[in-house]
Amino acid sequence: MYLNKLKIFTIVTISIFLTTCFIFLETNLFEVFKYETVLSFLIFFKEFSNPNISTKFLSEVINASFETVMISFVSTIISSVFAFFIMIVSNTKNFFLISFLKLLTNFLRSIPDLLWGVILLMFFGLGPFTGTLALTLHTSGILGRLFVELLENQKMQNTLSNFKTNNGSFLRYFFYYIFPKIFPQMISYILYRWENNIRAASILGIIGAGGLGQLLFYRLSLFHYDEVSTILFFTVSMVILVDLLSSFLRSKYTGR
Amino acid sequence: MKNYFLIKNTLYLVILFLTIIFSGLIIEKSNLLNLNFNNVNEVFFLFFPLEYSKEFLYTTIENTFITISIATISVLISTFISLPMSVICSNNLSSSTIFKNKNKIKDLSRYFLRTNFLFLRSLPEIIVALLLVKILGLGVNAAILSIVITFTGFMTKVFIEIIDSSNTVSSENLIRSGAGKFKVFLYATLPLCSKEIISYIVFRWECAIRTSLILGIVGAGGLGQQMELAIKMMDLNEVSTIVFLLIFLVYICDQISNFIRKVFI
Repeated sequence: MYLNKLKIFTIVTISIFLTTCFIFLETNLFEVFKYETVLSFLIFFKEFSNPNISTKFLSEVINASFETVMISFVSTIISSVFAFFIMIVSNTKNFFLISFLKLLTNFLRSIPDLLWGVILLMFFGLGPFTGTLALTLHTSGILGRLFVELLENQKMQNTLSNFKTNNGSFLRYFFYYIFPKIFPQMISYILYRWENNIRAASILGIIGAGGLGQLLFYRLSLFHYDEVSTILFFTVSMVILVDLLSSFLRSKYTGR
Repeated sequence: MKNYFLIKNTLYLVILFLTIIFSGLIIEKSNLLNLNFNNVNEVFFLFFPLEYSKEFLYTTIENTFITISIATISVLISTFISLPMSVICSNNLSSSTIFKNKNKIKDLSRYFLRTNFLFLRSLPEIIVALLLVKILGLGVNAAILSIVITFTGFMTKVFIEIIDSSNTVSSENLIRSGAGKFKVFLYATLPLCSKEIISYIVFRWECAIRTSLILGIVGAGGLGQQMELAIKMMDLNEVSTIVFLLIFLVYICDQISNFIRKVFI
């Protein structure tokens, strides 16, 4: 890596930026290593290390984790259908429609799912529906952009004109030529988003949108750390299970 | 082959069935059928017009800078932790794999270190922040520490993969002639894979900005906290300004990271 003027300029600006960041925040990070904080860490771990496994509480946790799986699954499926429609509509020569779709997907994408949840909470109230809708909006933005890029990369002018001379519409061309080609890639994108969504759904409850996160937030506010440790164990095991399932499905469908 | 198609079609049917049942359950649980849609109309018009008084804009911009600096500092710290750790944990740079002397203790200890990083990245950063806010109290420190904890796990894993998939000719020669791990990394491996490492760090910086926006909801400072407070006070025109600023911020960060990638790669 040799250095030219541009590289030196960027390195200098990045270092100036870093120093301004440190000056701006005005916090002392070494407060973490103070005596009292270490003590509170130790107390926390002591209470954390004996989880609550009474039957009543376990059934509550299992119910909540089922709700979390529900939220992530439904939002992934609905948003993949939306993204599929966005992909088909994006094949027009209408400039305004294309730029509108780009603006829409960018808008949906750039607000994080948790902030979508906070905003939608005012419209639809507490409950798992809000979480599902928030995840659906965010995920359809991301998946829409990915699918549109997939279609743009696959389009070949040669074959398209071939189809048109044989009196085939774009939809026929799409379903018989492009769709079988990009199907494995689409499946892998959807599974990847599902993995992300289950992580997001388990934390969406913090703002009151159902699932494991809500249970976690209540128990944490009541300082019941033994129950918190049970909930965290369930969260992690659920995420790992979904990861295993999605990697199995991916290997089945994409051969990777 | 016939059997294969049968399995595939039943899988699709099961997915469809599950979607319908799950969505029905969600709608029933959230009591959506009793929803009053007049409420939706009323709330929607509270978002406009945008708030743009001078005082409000000043505090928002200050909070934006706090968010950016939280992200930058935490990515810097986690890079400084994860680069040496990935050098220690990688298989490519270890003498025991190259000389093939089957040093089981060294292999096991390396494996053990790697699994530690799996624990770091298994919990979402917002839950870590929730726990740390309880321990350290409200403030920027909790946000920085939670991002550092999770991102160290992710970055170490990816750096190990980058080092293990790089070309081993020069590094192996250096190790055979007796150089230490970190020297080999600095002189042989880093020049080969510096581009990938830089692009991954920049990507993580973008992610860190998004997470530090979210962490405000837990009470860890920045733009997210201001938005949460504005929602709790029902100042919805402030919320809409903050949302537009947020979109602008994410766009600007995309452009900056693209520029850095273009310069170095």
